[in-house]
Amino acid sequence: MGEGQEVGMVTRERELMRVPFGPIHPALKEPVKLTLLVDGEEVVDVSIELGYVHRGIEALAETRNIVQVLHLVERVCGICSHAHPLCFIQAIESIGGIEPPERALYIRSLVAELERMQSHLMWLGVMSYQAGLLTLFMYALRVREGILDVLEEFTGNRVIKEVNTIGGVRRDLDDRIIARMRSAVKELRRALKLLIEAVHDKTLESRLEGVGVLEHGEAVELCAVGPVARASGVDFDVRRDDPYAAYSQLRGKFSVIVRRGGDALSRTEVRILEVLESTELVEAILDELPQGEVRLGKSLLRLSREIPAGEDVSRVEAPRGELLYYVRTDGREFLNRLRIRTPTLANFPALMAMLRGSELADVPIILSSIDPCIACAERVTLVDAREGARRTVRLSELGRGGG
Amino acid sequence: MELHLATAASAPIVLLASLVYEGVDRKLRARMQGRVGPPLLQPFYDLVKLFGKDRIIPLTAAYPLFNYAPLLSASCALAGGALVFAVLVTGLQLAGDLLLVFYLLSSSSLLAMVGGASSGNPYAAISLSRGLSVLLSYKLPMLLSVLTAAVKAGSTLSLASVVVFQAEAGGGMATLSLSGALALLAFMLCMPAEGEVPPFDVTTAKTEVVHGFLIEYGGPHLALVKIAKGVSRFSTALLAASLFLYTPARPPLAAMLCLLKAMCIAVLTITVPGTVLGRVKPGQVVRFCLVAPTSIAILSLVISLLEAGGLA
Repeated sequence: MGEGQEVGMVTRERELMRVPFGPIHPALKEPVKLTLLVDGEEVVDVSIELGYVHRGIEALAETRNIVQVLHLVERVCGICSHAHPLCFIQAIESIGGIEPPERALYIRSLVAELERMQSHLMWLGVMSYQAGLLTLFMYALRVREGILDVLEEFTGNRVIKEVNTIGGVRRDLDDRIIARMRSAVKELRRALKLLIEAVHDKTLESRLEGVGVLEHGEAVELCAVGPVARASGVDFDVRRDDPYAAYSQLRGKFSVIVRRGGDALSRTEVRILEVLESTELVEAILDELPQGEVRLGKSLLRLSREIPAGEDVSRVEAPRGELLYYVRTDGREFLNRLRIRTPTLANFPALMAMLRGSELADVPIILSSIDPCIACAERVTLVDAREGARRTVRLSELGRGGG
Repeated sequence: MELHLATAASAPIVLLASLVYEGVDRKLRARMQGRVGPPLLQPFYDLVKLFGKDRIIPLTAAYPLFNYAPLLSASCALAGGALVFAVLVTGLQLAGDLLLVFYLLSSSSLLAMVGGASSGNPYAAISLSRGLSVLLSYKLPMLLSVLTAAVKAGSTLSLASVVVFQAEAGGGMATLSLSGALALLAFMLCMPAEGEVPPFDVTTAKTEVVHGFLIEYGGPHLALVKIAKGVSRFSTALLAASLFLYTPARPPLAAMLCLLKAMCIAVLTITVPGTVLGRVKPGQVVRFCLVAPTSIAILSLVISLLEAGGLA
């Protein structure tokens, strides 16, 4: 490790202290290295270094067929494990001109909304943990369990849901699971009231208000996405502005939460209210669920062989913001190129802007206020962090099956 | 019996009581958070485990300070707490023992921080600079409220005479007069800072300064620092109980009652805020301590001085 000596050391530059924040730090759930230039308690400048959890998924995807890649992208992120395959499969279906049945589209939206709820609840827990409020962390995660339970009952798994397939979804809803989802959502709404009250607790509010401000202009200029952008007054949501799955039919059933404050408190409000909107959406989906098949009659392998050579860009509103996939197929059921732009990567420039001029005590809060998913962001660029040189990760280097 | 012998005999009792409180604290906190929580005796198990480990001393550490500060810190805390308990049991007079207790407990906090900061770790250094400003800001109102009790008991700085005063008056200082109640309030507002729990746990905040001055301590060192912290927070609660909430009774019984009350004060001022509140920023801690508890403590001191003047 070339930079090993620097970690844990204080190097003085004029009167400034260089404080390493990561790659291993209790405030970080994943390794990323922030180097903070600190003047007393004030952060003067910050640099970010990625590359500690790079997995080479994009390169790996180029050596696998479409069906295998579908399962691979499911594993890009453990929190938005529905958003990724959904985004991918939409691109594939658009290249192949495949129209999934209506009921399948509704189920895709349904799982996406359940996923958004559990993601935002998890985030709320992590956020309050950063602010030293362990109790809210415990509460938020317990509430989240209710959603994970119905997801498990429906898909068979808590995390890796594997719902999507080419031309539809793999599982159908029955009356029992619909009833379970309704009651879980009702319960969640009740619990949410308590969580909202807890967030508006004075000490927590004082930690979030005015912290990590991202002005509207900055948010637009730095291309922030998702709740981060919406908390800075950017009124954009892929679900409404570029509808996919069943969202065009559900347009009137939800509103896009926008706040103008641009601080951590606004981002918290946006996310909590989005959970509320998601409960509305889930109920609307369950009410309007059309009858019929959930996937095309053809076998998956035949469908994947019928995908012609072509390229497409697809995007979905993942819990953390706009997720973008570029897919190029070669017409022989393989991919020429897969490019994933995760919302966390899009929000890094905004994060830097938020951190400059902040207090050292606020760094963990600001960092988690963008809901970073480091491992998701890392696979995107193949950059050697130490030399800054781009290189392609080969399959042989990845150690097929071994690591 | 001599007071120093009684103090030495009281030390294990205070240590035991503070560990029991820590067990209660962890259990209660867990229940409030909807968890099962560790067994009541977990703090004992933790100490046994830590004492069985190797000492690790970083190359960057200033050796003597880093190595001996935890021991000194724990001894100061134990001496302070044991002195309070010994006075409660024996009722022996020692001129200025209130200041001595206060000094011992403050030294304990200070030594632990300085020892940790001497490790050369930047997080410990930040923690020390935070800790010093917090220490100054909450020790001032605490000292003022202790002085209020002393003034009310006839301008004496001996704990025994405050106890005797309460025994003769037939109730605790806080229940007798407004100034006593205000002094207790100011004292209790400072307790979360003394206990290093949210909202005032800026010196050891895990997500900000990676446990602060504790970062390089492990094994027996960590055990000693844990003892120092546990005993000093419990002793501070014990001091509050004996200064403001003393119940007239035969000395051994009264001492036991004080232990119980200290437990209740600690639950109210350390366990509860530590569970229901989030952490504020270092500047906010200092501002809070220098405004709310300090003004209340000054007010109570002024009232008690006026009362004393009126009587004379």
